[in-house]
Amino acid sequence: MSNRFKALLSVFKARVGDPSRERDTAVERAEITVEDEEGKSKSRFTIRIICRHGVIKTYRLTFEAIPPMHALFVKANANNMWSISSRTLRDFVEHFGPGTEQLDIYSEDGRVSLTSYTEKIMSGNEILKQPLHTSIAIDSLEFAEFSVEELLHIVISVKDFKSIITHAGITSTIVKACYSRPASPMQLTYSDDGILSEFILMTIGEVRGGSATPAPNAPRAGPKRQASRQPVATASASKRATPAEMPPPPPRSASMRELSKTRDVRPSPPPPQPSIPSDALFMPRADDDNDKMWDPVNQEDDDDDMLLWGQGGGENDATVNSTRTQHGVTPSMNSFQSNMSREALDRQLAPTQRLPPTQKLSQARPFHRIKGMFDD
Amino acid sequence: MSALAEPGNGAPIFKAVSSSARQLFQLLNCIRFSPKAQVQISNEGLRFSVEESRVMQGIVFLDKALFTTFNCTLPEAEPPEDDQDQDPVAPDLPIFTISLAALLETLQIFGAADAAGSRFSKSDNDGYGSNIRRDRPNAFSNQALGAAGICRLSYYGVGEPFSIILEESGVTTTCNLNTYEPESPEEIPLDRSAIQVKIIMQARWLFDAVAELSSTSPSRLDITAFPSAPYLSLSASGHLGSATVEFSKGRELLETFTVAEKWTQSYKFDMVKAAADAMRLASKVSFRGDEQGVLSMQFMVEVEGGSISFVDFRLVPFIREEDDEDDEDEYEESQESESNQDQN
Repeated sequence: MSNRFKALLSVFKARVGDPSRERDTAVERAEITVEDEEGKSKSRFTIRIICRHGVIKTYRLTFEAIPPMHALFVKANANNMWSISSRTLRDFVEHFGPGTEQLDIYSEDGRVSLTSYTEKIMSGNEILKQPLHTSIAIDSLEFAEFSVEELLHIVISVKDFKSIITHAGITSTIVKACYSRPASPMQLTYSDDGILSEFILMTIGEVRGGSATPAPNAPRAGPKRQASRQPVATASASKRATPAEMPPPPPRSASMRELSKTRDVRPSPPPPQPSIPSDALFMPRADDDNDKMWDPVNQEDDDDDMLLWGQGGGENDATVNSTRTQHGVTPSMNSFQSNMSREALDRQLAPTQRLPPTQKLSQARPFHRIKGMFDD
Repeated sequence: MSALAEPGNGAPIFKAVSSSARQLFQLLNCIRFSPKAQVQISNEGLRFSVEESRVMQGIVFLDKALFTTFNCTLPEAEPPEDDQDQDPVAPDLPIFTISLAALLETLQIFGAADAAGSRFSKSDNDGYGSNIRRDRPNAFSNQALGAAGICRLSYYGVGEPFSIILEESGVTTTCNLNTYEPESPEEIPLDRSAIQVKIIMQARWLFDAVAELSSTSPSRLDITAFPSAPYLSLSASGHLGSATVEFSKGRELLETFTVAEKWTQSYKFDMVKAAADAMRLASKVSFRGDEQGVLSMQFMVEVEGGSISFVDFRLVPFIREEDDEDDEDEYEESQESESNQDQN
């Protein structure tokens, strides 16, 4: 469902200063209904705000139904994790230089460095952007939990991070960040009073050879469960979590691609698991251009991946293999991306499966072009 | 002495002193939607009227009670008539046009507009100033503290400037505003014998409703009054959707409510919004609509000092055609759902 977000926001924004307003128009309750019946020409998102003295304000906003976009995040892969009080983090974030674009996070010897920076951009002799670095070093004891690979540089957008932390900082809560390695998504979560906020940010950074099979050295790190990165996999898949059964664990990068592929083309997926959707960020997108950005990038070396996967997996991989066999029959997945009847697929697929995962996104894009989710 | 005062040296035909430029400013600020105002001077006071495209008219009457001294020596061309004719509709009352923007600028030269001016620039966060009553009597105003200066208005006659002299703690500002020939002075006609709707309510509820609807940036405001619930409904639709404010508990909200049958009219939203300053300032509004849909909004404003003034607005509605858009849509929709039911 796509709605002009601004219109929706404006309904509630005017009420931000409500306490200082006169009491007579205080809001008593709000009712929200959605009208979207088939055969009816109008789809309306209706908000009724009932104020004192029987003043009723009704908004009927137009919307259109569109297939939802999801950024996928595979928690099992995220072997780096830290959590910290939102207020503390907000205090740090305030120091980031205005105008900086990227935020680099890494830890070394119990010190965590947050560096916000802008890279110098030249056009001929003209300096388009002045370089700027602001570094904050924090003792890892400031964190509630900290289990991150040493010297792992992960880079995210400052603007997004700031917006998220500003929001989280409104209440005193714990912000938790999970990520695996550069170029894979980072998840930030916090909850308060029944509001669960979950953000998935794209990360960039140097993909070092070592980080392909990361081995966090922090003692608090949980057990690594590479194989369960298949979020919709059935119980059989989770058994593969024991690495001993898989003689050569496939290189992570390859399996990522694999993952994106199986997801794309699976024509008859296993029934959705109710717990899965919470791992996915619901991200409605208005235009197709953005859709393309989320598409998987590498699709040529299918065969290698299949081979790898086939060799690596044991009997327990039966479900995965069967779907992959069908993949051979399925026509090109681009057709799925662009013009296949999405709605038909949407009905079949669990929410997390409707769109390809985003694990490969950043590799396809130049670092400096990463754009944030939030407007300026 | 000749009937018409000698330009520049005779006695002025109008002279008034007010102890508060702020009062005058507040009232005139309500009709600032037009840059030029027509002024009519009578024995009872000053009448400022502005209009926009002959579709909206705003009138502020500055009663002589607002002034500490008020002298109006009307031209004595026909003394016998003058004796009988003390009422303000005497035909040869001085009437001229001045720049309202310049007048307002002058009146607030000593900061009369403190609160009003800050509305445009400052956020609404400061608890005291942001109150919707911010333009109402304030214990800390210059007026209340006795530090106010005085404001003298005078006019010598046709072709002469309208002069304003402001004095405050030893500083004097003299301002002569050029006067122009009056334009067509006709009022938008409200047929008092064919009033179909009459509602008296708190002005701030109207203000709140209009502020609420402006979030959809609509072009048209539909006002509907029903003899039963929801009594009064204001609705507006923009391209992002529509918004409606209903006053569903007539008795609590509406002091007077006289509606014989359903009455619906549409007005240009921006024009109704031009009256927002009056809605904010006023305590009550009398809301009347006639058969043709001409809307009169009469605001009762209590200015500093406790006296009551009135600010009037009149609006001409959009012409409603029989096959009005929305009705048509609804009709189609109902037809559609009926046919669906038939199919089922």
